[in-house]
Amino acid sequence: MTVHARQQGNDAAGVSLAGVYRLLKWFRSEDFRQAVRVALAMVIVYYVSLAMGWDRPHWAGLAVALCSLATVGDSLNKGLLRILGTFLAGFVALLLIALFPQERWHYLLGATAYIAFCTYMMGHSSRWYFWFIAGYVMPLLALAGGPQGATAFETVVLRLQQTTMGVIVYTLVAVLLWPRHSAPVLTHTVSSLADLQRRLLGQYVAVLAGAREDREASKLRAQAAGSVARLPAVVDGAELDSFEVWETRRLWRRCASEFAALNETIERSRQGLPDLEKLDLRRLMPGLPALGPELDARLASVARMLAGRPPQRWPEEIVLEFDEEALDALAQFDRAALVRARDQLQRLEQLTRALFSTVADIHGFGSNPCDDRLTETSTAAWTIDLDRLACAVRSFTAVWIILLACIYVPDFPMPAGVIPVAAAVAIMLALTPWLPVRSVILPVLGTVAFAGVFHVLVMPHLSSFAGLGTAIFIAIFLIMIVLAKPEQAMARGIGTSMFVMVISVSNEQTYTFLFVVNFGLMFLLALAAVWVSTWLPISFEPAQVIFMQLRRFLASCERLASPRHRDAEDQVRRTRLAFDRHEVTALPGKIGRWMAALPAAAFGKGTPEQAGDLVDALQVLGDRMRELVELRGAPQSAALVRDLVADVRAWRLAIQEILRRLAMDPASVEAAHLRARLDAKLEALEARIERALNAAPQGSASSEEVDNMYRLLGAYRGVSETLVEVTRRAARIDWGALRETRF
Amino acid sequence: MNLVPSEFSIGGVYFPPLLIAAIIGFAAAWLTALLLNRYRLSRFFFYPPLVLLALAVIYTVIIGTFVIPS
Repeated sequence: MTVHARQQGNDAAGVSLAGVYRLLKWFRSEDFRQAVRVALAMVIVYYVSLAMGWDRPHWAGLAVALCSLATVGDSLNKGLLRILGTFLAGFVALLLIALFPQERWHYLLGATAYIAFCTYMMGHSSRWYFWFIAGYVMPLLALAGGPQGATAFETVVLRLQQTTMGVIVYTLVAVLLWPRHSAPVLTHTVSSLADLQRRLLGQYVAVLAGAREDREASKLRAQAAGSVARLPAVVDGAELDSFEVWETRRLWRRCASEFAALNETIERSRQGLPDLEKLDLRRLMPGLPALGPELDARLASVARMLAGRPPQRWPEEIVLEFDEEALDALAQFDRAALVRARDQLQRLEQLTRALFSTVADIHGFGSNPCDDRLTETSTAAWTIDLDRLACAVRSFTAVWIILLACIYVPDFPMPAGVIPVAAAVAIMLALTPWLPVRSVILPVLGTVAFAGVFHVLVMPHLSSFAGLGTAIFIAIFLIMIVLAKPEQAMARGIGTSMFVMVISVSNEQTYTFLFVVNFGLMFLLALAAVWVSTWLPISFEPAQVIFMQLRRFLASCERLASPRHRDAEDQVRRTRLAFDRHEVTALPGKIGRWMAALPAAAFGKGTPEQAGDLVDALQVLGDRMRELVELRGAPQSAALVRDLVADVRAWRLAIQEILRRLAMDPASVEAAHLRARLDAKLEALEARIERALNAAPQGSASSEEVDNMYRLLGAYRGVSETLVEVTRRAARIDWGALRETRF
Repeated sequence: MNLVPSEFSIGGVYFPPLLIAAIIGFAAAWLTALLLNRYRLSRFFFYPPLVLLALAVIYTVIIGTFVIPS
């Protein structure tokens, strides 16, 4: 053998070894394992269903396709929600048949109103899947029993039976085959979140001490916000998967809400940083240098306890005091900013201590000796969400369009299928209302084509379950592998569920191309109905939605600025207050998501980043407005109120006027003019407050009342400064291009 | 006059000519809408969804009458 030939041989061996290594790595990957789990569970449910002689085995297949998630707990949670949702849907289907056996229009009105209700409830909690199933399975069960409805009860029982079997089989497969439990995922999620918040807090304290803000901070904030939003769903899954988590589930939920509160407080604290730039905080708050390391140590201990190690020491309460001499030398609005900063730091101190205690309780490390855990209870009144209501109207309209088509168009294809499909798509879009209906068409048609080829060309050649089971395994495995990326979750769900519906396996198997074509056509007709309902009666065109939401946001800000909300005893006003608070809290995030759905042409001369900056400013404005409302009820000194009420009223009226003008036209207010007006106002007020404080009789205002006055003035200043920022950022948006109508 | 419809046969399934005309008509309307968006001509329409629907109907009628007659 020559040296060259030997070299070639070594190269070939190296290549084949690398190939084997890659193959082994793929076998060990979670994508491969998940694909095997789902495909195996699918084959088992088909076998059980066919062996038992049950009708519609694809219902069990659907349960496997749609409830197979990454961890056992998540899958079990979704499976249970599917079973409970099916139970409610079956109950309502039977109830409506019993209530309106002969009144067609009453029945349809009741059924569509129920679908709209389920759509509205989708956004209510992390358990949206329950409402999704309850909404779309009801028409499916009502129609699957045939036009007479005589077998409706048997159909409901069959659906429950198949769904439960599908969930049980997948759970067993997931538990026995490479199990991936949810409890470690929960611990990891909480631990990462504690680390993220620790870094954010560290950066905040560093900026307070005079450092510059890290460029990575915005990325950290986005990561922390994402983790906080995901945490309740992770707890839902883990509590079903682990007895330890189940036993401490209330503590885990408290932990999730404390993390959310901590995240919000860090964000609010950050918003006040520009007001503190010129202040020597180390001198003004001598306790500040010790607070940073203490908060850091607490969050580090949280991560330590989550890893199962006991805390080295318990946190003690820290009270931040001002240096009175340095404080007296400050200007009035600087003092207001300082009082606000201390309040936020004190709240951070409380929240980290509460979080420490909760995590210590969860892991059985005992209670904090100086535990004064936050016992906040939500007193917010019930309020309606207009965007969820719009989605409910869309579902109602889409189902009515398809119902009327089925009633009045002769030979409309597959009415028993097209109505539930229209309901399912319309309800599902409530989760992502900005998603265009056309984005569903390609995954649907692709899967129908793939499953159609399988049904017409492959299945007729299979003579036993061994062959059918193998073929189903391979097909499902391929779909799971091809669509394995996390961002392909929707396409994966559509792929696996469409596949089992199109191949329509049964004990008396027939193969017809007509069924495949009708199935594809049925889906297109259902999507067409949903598409029409996307325009009528409420438009879901992104630019129109953005303008509408912006108007609503500014209108709610204007109402919150008004003192009418002060009388919280009145039920109507309390409801109105809850509505406005909900609007200013939720709308900036929604506007951001709709902005992301805009086509590139809609930004005109602007950029998506500038739109994102405006959304950030709106979020800050919303937070500042809520802060203002929270401070209104605080006790104030009568003498100071008498002296300052006229100025504060004029200030408030000016804010309301600007908000009204912005609502009519976001580009109508000039930021430079507003800045000059605000500077003049602050200067005039500065002098007025100085005079009022000097003129106030000794002892007429307690220190708490003086602090409350500063807090309120700081809140007004915060709203005004943020308004200037909003107008400055709004001026950069090409509103003309955004207003242009386009297809 | 020939009253027998000239249906399309795909894999033994007969499709009405109007369905084929409607599918092509809708695709043509979609393409027109893309071009109108591309050249910023859509801003001259008050309500683009209705225009898209109208275009789809017009194309379907034209194709159904002259290209794929029943």
